[in-house]
Amino acid sequence: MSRRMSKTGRDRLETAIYATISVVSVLVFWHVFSVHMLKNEFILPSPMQVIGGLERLTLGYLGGNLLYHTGSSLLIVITGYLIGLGIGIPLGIMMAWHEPVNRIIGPVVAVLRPIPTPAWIPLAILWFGIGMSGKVFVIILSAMVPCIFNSFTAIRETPRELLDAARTMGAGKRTLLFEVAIPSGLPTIVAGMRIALGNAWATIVAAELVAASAGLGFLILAGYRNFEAPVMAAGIISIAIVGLIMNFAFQWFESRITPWRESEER
Amino acid sequence: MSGSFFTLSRFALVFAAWLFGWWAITWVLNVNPTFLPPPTTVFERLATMATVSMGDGTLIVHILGSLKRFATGFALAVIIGIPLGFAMGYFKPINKLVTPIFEAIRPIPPIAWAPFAILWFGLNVGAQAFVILLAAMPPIIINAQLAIRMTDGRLIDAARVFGAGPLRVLAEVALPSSIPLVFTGLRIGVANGWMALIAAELVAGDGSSTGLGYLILQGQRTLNADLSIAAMIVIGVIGALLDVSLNRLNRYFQGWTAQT
Repeated sequence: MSRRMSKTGRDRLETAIYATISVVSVLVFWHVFSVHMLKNEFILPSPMQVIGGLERLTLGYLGGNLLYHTGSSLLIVITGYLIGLGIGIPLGIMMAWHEPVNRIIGPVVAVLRPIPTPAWIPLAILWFGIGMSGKVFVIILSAMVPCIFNSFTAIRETPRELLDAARTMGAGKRTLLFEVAIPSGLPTIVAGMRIALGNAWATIVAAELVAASAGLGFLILAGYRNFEAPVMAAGIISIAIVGLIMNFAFQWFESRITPWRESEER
Repeated sequence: MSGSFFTLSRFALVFAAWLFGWWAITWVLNVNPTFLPPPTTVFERLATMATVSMGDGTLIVHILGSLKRFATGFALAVIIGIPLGFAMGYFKPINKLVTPIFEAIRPIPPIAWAPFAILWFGLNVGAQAFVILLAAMPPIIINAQLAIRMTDGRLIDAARVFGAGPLRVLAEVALPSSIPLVFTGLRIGVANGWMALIAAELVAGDGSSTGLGYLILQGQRTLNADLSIAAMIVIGVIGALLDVSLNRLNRYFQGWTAQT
């Protein structure tokens, strides 16, 4: 967004200078505050101590190194996310396309939607134990809800002209759905997938903070329990980095699947 | 009017059928109520919760406890977020200074801060309010900033022609015209904050025995799924009420700008 705003090279240079100033001054302030004023690494570790914490994680901490814990979180997120999409998108489309499906499923979706996904975590533990399946269940829910909602909206808001034009050319109901409604709603459906990914990532962290034996959220909790704030901070940074990478991966996917959207925005 | 009444009654009818299905499954398969209680047990629980004290008190105590945490965090998010967003929208250097920090923090799910929040603020309202603040603030900042930047250029020009200085343009043109977008940010912030509240109560709730999140957790710990489900229903209802009332307010604000 901000990159698109900067049109000239001068503006870009200015942005870079401001960014450097702000990041460096935050790091300096953080360092001075934690090392010279607070002097309590249990409450606020210094930037150097956090790098030490990252090093400790890469060497291995409670069952595996950083890659192991990242992999553990990612495996659950990706499994649950894909299942959530697999259920949510077709369900949302069917609800929008076939009124009877909407009448039957709609009330349940409407009642379940306002319950925040983290609220399901204790019930998932009760039903599936603290292992992987309970977390996958919660991730499915977190990813499914925005997919249902956006897919439903996408199909319902197909421009009438498009449907009418296709119909005059003799398109059947199936063709209308697969060749008009779904392609025209694709950007909205993909937007739902993006929201779902963010939800899933936030939910796995919450679930691992409640009960887990591996994963990035678990690392933060373990650091807290062992009085190792550098490990906690390193865990948070890892979560941020993985989250950023997922965002970029999704942006790439989005530009591949709906390439026309980008040009519309400009 | 009669049409919406018809839709509503059909909705209720279908929903009742689902409840009946839930009840039938637990009855036919003889499901262990610890695992999945029949809906009747959940409704009974909802009724007893209102009168029988659990943890720190009856249902109303837990609702008020949760709302207090939510209100604290959300109020802080508004107090910090709106002025910061306005400043970022109006002064380019501030925008360029804050954006890198903002973008670095944003990919971190707010709940990940909960353990640090406990270290910094102790196991009390402070820790949970901090998590809610982090969850509710980003959409508020983004929309406040966007609202200022999207001020109609013609309005600004018109004000300038009449001799308004930059501060007057901000106070009398940009701020009033920004209200609908700012309000949208508040709405998203409420939804985010409400979600974060429950997560925060589950994670940073140790030691406290108030709040709807506490009730859900208590249901799991004492193997009373009916308690967890009843608390989830209350959370859903309050969340939905918040959303509906904000929607109403929203329509009022949108109409208000359409007239000016």
